[in-house]
Amino acid sequence: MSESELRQHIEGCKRGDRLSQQWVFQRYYRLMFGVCLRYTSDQDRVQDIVQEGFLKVFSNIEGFTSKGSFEGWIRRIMVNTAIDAVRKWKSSRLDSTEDEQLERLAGPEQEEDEVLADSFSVGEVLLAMDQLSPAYRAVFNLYVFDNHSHAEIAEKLDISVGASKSNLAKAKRNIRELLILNSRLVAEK
Amino acid sequence: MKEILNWTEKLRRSFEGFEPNVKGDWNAMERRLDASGHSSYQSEIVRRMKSAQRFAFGASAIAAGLALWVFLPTFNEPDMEAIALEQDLTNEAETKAWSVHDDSKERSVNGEASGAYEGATNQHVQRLPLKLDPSLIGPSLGGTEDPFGRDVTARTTTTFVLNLPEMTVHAPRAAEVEDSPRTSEKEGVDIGRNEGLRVPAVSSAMKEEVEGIANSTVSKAVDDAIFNISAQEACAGTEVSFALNGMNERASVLWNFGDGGFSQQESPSHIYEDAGTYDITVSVRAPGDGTIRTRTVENMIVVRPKPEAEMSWAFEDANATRANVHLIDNTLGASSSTWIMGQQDISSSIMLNIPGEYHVNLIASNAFGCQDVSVETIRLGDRKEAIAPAMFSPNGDGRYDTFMPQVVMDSREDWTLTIWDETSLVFETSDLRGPWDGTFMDGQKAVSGKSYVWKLEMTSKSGERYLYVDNVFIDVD
Repeated sequence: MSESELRQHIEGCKRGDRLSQQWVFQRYYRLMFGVCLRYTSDQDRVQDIVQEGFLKVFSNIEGFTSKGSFEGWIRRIMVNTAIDAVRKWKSSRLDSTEDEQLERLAGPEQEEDEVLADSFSVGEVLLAMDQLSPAYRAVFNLYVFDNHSHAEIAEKLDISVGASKSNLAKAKRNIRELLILNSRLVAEK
Repeated sequence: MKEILNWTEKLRRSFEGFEPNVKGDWNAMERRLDASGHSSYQSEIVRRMKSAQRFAFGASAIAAGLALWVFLPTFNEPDMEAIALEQDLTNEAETKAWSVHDDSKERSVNGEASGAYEGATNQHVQRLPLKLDPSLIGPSLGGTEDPFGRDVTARTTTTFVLNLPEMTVHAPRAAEVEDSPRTSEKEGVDIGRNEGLRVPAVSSAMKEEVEGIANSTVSKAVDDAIFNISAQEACAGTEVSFALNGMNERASVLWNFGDGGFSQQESPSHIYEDAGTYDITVSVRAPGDGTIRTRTVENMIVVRPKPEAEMSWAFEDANATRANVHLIDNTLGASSSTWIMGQQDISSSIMLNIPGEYHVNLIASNAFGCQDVSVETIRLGDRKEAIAPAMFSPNGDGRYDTFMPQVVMDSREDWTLTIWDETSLVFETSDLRGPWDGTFMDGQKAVSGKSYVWKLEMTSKSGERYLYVDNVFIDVD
């Protein structure tokens, strides 16, 4: 894909050209599916979210200035759409039980290198995120993968900055425990 | 902190350039664009025809395939073509794997063990359907017996069963899969929303075809109908059981009950303390290969609040042989309640013989049918239990001048001793230093040669409530 080709299609989208829209849709669909998949593992829902996101992309394409990255712009819209779609953390109770239980299952904290692999597959990470509470998942995603600051997360999720920080800390710890637990599941015969 | 950054950075990197193997449904997208008033260069009629065509193919290929794509390569690299095939198999062969099914069906499936799936599902296509057994679900009366012989219905059992048909692993035969026309044919098919989740049962011709190439499937197919399950109910504070079915070998399991509870047991039980809607997640590591499947069902279980049964009681009146006890229902949030003593329903006003110990149950139910039980013991004693004299001589001679049951020494602060002349209260004290000296509250003296009824209401140090009632005889001679 060349820069000019992209620019041409962005212009096309601004005119409402169906072929350009289709080009953009097909160019970014998989990438954005991957982004949204981190927010919810329900694939039907992901599909809905991505479509909803593209709808917003095409309706607001006038607002895209050629200065920034187009991919980054689409991605932000997708993340926002995903967050809207999985607004769940509010009802989800977050207490220390999850943290304690995971600690208990994973055993005492060990040296980093001992327990964590050098690299992780997408599957491993998604699996662990699936096992995480929705509220932790949202904060973890926004911070670690989608480059949001705590202030941005707090605003987006309608929580305090402090809650964002503490949720992130707990989410990190729990993800870590889950990665360990899962790798142990694999290792067990 | 540096360490943490390091590993989260690793996680980040794992997602770099991550593009799952899915295809966007442009037709559906276009429909939505049209609906939202965006102009189209395509003829409306042509477009409609095209989408209708596509719709007919509607299937869960992508949903199923993606699940595999995401989870299978986690720990061993599977043949992607084989997975593509597998998604077809899942697609075609599966009916509705997560189903709420009736008890008799469940029994027959369990009874016939491994072969039971052959009919509706292809035996080579293994999956992890989570089955719910509705006969065990919900606020039906459970099996907890109360100590007095009657079933007390405060606990119910809900069982979720995860069915794991045998998980044999077949080596992929890539070449054959590549040549399979089905694979390529399916690949381009986009999904119509949701319609794909209810996949028709496999036709016999198709089944043969599927079986012919089934040996090349890599382990289990994944089932996505599970996401369609409707919520099941349980009562707060009751035990919910989860079970794995059909595990021939020991697999490793991690359950997430959605309320912060986890378990690594195969068939764990969990008590939801709070009302709410919970997601259930199960991760299973197949024996044999190293793959882990995770299934999440959102809003799978709705936990209904239970009433908090609370009762108290008061004495209405008593003579030396019988007490009339009034039972008070202090339960909040109940729609109905029943008093039970022994094995019988009783009214809230009961006559009890003295002495005796009586266990009274209050069973409260709310609109959801959730129940709670409160048990209270009513202890009625006479002078022997109260360590009280049968008579005393309030004549000021320094011997047996006052009356006070000695059991109050064993009391917490609150006790009240009353003296009755027939039905009228003549004396009352709550003070150890103020025993009854035979004088009435109005200054009169107790009559020698006459018996008076005394009542002592008391809470013991361990919190048990007592009523002691008996006569005391006045002998001043």
